[in-house]
Amino acid sequence: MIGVALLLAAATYGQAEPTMLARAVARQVQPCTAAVPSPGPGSERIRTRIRLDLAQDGTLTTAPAVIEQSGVDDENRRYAHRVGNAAGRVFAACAPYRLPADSYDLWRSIIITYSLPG
Amino acid sequence: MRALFSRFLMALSVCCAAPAAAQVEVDVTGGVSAPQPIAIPVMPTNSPVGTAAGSTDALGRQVSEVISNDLRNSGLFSPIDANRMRPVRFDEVTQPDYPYWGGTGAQTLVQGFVRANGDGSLTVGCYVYDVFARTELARQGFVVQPDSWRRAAHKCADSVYSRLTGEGPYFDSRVVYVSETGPKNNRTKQLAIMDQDGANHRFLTSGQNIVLTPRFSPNEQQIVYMSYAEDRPRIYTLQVGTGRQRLVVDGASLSFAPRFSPDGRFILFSMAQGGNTDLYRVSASGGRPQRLTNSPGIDTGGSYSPDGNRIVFESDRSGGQQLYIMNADGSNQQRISFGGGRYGTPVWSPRGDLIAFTKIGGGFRIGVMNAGGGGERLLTNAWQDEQPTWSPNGRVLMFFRTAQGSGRASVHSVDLTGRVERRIATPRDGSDPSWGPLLP
Repeated sequence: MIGVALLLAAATYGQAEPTMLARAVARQVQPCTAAVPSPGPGSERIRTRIRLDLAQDGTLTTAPAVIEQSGVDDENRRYAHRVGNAAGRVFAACAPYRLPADSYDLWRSIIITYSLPG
Repeated sequence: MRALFSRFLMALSVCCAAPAAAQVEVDVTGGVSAPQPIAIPVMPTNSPVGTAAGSTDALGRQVSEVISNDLRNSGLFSPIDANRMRPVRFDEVTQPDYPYWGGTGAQTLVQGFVRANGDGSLTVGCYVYDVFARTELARQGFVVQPDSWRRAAHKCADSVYSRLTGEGPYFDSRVVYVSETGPKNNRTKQLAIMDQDGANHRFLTSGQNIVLTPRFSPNEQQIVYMSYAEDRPRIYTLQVGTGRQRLVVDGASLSFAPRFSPDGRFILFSMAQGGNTDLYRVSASGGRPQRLTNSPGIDTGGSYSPDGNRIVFESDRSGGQQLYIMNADGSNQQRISFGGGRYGTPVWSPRGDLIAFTKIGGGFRIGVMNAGGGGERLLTNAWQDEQPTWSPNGRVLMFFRTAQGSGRASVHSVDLTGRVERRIATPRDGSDPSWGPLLP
């Protein structure tokens, strides 16, 4: 059996830019999106914009809200509702989000555009 | 969670008001993405000292290389070229230079250290940082004997992998397989064991007798396998630590395809008697086998579900090899494969969700299906791929490939997307791999 050593915590740093925060969020949600199956052909063209409202501890203060969907056409219209549902489940499942507390004003409300892989 | 989701459905149906002003916008495409850039610089030491495995500063470089290779081989990470990274000082390990690492393009940073302890052991520290959020994601320290430094590196890689993917670990594990050499009609086959990355390779048997289908016990201390010792194909166990071998099932009948139960108490195997081959189980300590199937034809390749309650196996009772599941006592046998072609060598995922198999028809290919049948996907597409075995986290498969023409065999791995496939380097040809559990 391998032994375990306790390590000192690293120092924390200051405010990060919105671009870096966006990348941090994208990285955190990626594992949750990997298991979402495609409901059918053409569903990958549907882009769903969702708003996440977050508390300071990274938990959701309310359910993810679908703002709009684009890329819906006659072939994939039947899947639009399921793609929206899947997006909401994904981002709810990935909470709480780990983001710098001193940048909370930047990330208290996040817009995510989600689409299935092509 | 359920209440939150119900509220989400309500929000979806009334299709929300205009969004509040948001300052962070993210674009996410679900599923497979490009490998994530990750920086894994050489791990510094507080003081370079010699150890039984080399100096601590040299070990720091080797540890970072093992971590890089593990993460690269998963297909999910793209380690920054070592030549593009500056050395990290010991005091920087807990105070990362985020602006510098952001400039390398890395999204994640793995820093650590190697320190010699007064009792001759080593401490390997492992820190994982989110470069953009400038936060620590994980921190673990490992105390090992010098000759086990690779295990500390694998444990660190597992920490990174699990934290960033949400999946269980699998790098700190070993594989037993059949090492082959010699001409086609006179092969020498020996049991061999190695780390999952091919390191620490050693032979377990001499090659005097043909050996097949080795399988680890759940605690990884034993291997059960088939041997042609005395020209009688029978099942034996081998103690990994001592090399001691013991006959499990005696008698005149051919016995083969053994596998331990998840609790290690039983060995499942096939035995040919009276012109029929059925599945049996026997106590791992030996004794009288208990018959589980009794149908005309060949029933073989049994594999337990991870809870030990059910068994998947292959049978040609319907006229061709297909997959069946049954209760562990042999009751309630049901066919689960219905695609075109034949199916063999089933193995239940340690997560319980999938069954891997060899699909036979126009070649041999590795595939997976849902544990109850259905959802079949083929993951490989070469001439002859067979005998899958699962990684400890149920997300990667190892198998062996026979080359067309030469007939030479080699061990390969593939992930569940089928996109990340690689050959595992072995000193000679290799077949029949069996992936052991995560090491403690």
